Amino acid sequence: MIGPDRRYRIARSALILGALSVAGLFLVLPLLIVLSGAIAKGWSLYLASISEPDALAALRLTLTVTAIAVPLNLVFGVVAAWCIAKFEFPGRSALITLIDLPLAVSPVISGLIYVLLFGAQGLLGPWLGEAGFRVIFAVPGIVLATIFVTFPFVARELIPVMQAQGRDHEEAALSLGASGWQTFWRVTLPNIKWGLLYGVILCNARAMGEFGAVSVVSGHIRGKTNTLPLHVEILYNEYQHTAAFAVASLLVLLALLTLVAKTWVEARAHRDRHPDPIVQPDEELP
Amino acid sequence: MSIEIRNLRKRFGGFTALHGVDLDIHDGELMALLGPSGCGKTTLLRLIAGLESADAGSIHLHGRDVTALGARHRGVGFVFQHYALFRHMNVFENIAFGLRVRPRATRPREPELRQKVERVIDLVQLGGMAQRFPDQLSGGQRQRVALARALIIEPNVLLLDEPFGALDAQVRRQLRRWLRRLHDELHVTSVFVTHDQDEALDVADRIVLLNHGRIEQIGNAQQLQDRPASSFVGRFLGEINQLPASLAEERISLGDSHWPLPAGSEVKSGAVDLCVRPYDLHWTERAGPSSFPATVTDARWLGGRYRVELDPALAGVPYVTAEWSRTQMPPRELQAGDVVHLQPARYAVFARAG
Amino acid sequence: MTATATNSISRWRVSGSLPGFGPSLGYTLLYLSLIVLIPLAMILLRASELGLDAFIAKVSSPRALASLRISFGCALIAAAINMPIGLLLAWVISRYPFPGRRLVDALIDLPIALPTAVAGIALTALYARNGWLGQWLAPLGIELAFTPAGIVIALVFVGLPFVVRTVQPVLQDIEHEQEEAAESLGATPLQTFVRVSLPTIAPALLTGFALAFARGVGEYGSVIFIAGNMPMISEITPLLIVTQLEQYDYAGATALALVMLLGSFALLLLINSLQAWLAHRGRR
Repeated sequence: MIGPDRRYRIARSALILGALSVAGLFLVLPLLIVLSGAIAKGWSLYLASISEPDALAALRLTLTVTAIAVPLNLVFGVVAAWCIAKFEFPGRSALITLIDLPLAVSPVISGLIYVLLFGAQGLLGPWLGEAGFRVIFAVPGIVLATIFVTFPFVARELIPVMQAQGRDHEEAALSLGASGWQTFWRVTLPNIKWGLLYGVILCNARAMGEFGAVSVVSGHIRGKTNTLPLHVEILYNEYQHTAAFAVASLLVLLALLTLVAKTWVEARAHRDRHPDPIVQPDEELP
Repeated sequence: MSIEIRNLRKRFGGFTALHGVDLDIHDGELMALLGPSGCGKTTLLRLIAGLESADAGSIHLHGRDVTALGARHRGVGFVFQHYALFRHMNVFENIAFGLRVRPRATRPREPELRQKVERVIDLVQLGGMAQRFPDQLSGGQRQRVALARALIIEPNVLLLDEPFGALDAQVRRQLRRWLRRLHDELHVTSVFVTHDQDEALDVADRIVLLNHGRIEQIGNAQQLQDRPASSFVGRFLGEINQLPASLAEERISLGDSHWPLPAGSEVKSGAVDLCVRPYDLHWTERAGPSSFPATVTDARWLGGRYRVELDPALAGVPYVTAEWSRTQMPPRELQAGDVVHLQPARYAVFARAG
Repeated sequence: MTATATNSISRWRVSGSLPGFGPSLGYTLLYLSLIVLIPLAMILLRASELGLDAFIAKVSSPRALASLRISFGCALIAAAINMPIGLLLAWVISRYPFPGRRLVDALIDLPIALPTAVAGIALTALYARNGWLGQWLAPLGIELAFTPAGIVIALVFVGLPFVVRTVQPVLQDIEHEQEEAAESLGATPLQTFVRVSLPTIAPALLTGFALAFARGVGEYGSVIFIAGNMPMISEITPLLIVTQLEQYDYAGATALALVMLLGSFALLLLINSLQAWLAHRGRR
């Protein structure tokens, strides 16, 4: 190659090397140390750590909480995006800001507010206690805190997608005689499916991995109110490092799956937006 | 010689953008690089500017070999198709950029810089716009800022990529004339890329017609139109009728009609295309050895000339087009279905493609 | 813009073109109130019960002040560190093709996908005195884990994707031609970067900084393992809130929470106006 760009290529290689070092240091090493810590004392101990009853109970609770929180926020996200994206009304942008609010709140405060509301000294706590219903230091509190921290994920993905699509498609469907539900299922949903899936993936990852908010409301009762991340903390603080890393490796797996799914959805959504052009060169007419 | 290009080659992956191009551009010339999209014209321009590096060949600017130099060291003014104005700088700062980034030793002092910028602003007729930002300008004004920005570095050559492409039709026509006048004033060697033949014919001293990474023909407007070097050139520069004929012993035959082979034709025998411009296809009342019959299918007045479509009843030629001035028209009103005889007044032949 | 907005409002009022506005808005407001607004209002309610003097006393105790200084200070430093390294990553990913680029691009979001507790123990294990990295730093007298520097490391980790993902789209949209224009006018690569590229990226970089800062201020899980949590030295505000809750000091927890909330909202406001500015610039 004849050309002026050798120095440019050296600079470029240096930048790439720098970026790879940063990525290695901050993104790859933490993953490797968890995985290596998990199997440091052999596979049998690893398997024993993740199949121990308390770990299984934590896994079960994490899945249960996620199975409640994600669908609720999914439905909310779709409904909120529908009214915000498809209609104009005063206070719309304020509503968007309010929906994003939980993102700006420290996880600890997200737990605290439910303690203030439902705790023994809380506003509704004593009254609920008389009715024999516990929220704080019990599963309902964990569910509520999880819903709070994952509240905006689906909505904030869907709102821009639905806004960009406008209302022409829906209006066309209605003018052709479709009912509101038919319009939603057949016209709106296919258009937003990638945004929806993307939001659900992020929501799911956060729901399974949430630590701070859940930690405040859980009470850390082993086998009862411990989620996987809380279980990791307990094991770690008890200096059972191998067991802690073993359970953490499950969450690393979750994170990696999340990244794969997210990348896949992004690629699909990109392909839907930019389909391969039909090759039709501007040939001259005969 | 301002620009000397020898055997210039460039590939992008599996796509060859230029196959060994040779080109000389004279001092003070205004040259158009013309061709369909993908012909390599923009690549050639970017290679001259040093924005791409060549795979092989050489480029000399004013006798200096610049092949291995980057754009920064070539002293070439480049006007981008979408202008590429710096959006966070106002008109003044955009134009001053090329002076401000000079090494301290050659950087003009502030008063001198101001004077230079203002002179160029006047030259491109943007007085009073100096404080505006690119987003506050019309397309034509942006185009002139881009030009001013390129001119302030007193470039060896000025290169313009589709300079009128992003403008609407009327502004385009005005800017075309203006650029031509500006060039006559400054006499800086200029090369511009266009896919629009009218633009090339209207503005350029000479035209380089490119196709598939090769130069098809270099010449002025008349040479290209009247003596096309290939049927591609004939087709690209204006409408042309292509009639499938055969060539033997210096005689072109189409059905029962015959014509002599024009001097300088490269093809000697075999299947050929007889290429005739619509305005060179005259009519005669009577059949003759050098005319062929055709049935009128449509005739309309286009203001200044008639345009007539005719069916020549030849295999593979659904219609031919002829253009006649009022005085060339037959004495009676032509109707669809009338039969006339067509006689090519000037023509070229090329070996039949494919 | 205004014209189309008015137009569509009137269209909605006249024909009510799409169904479901009332129910969907109603459900949105109800769910939002139950899950977010009413619980958050508890902070205000509790804090107001406290009275101004008690509130100030709680918030201005030396330990509380130190924790606020640490939380906001470390978040600020981490966000500042994230600007150059986030820019580097975004630049390389969006500009240069290299093997493994897509992998790096996907990994950028790891700090968002990885539960914070896992990040916390992983970073601690890396930087502790006997850890993979700590063992090389300890002989040099550099201790990162269990010091405020450890907090900064954790916050750099959690904030990184915010800077990269804010800057990346701007870098991808930037007209490469502007940089070529600068080059053809004689600018050196450094001049091109400083005078042409950086001003274009700056607003996004600032937004990314603010997002990383906001995230860092409230961060809990990844910090508490590596911080050492010594009161006055490496105790962050969220941890102090938890400690006070465990000691049934609801008033103290609430007061601190209110201060943090106000700080976060101020940041949110800043971010929103930054983004509005960004969008405005993009439209021009």
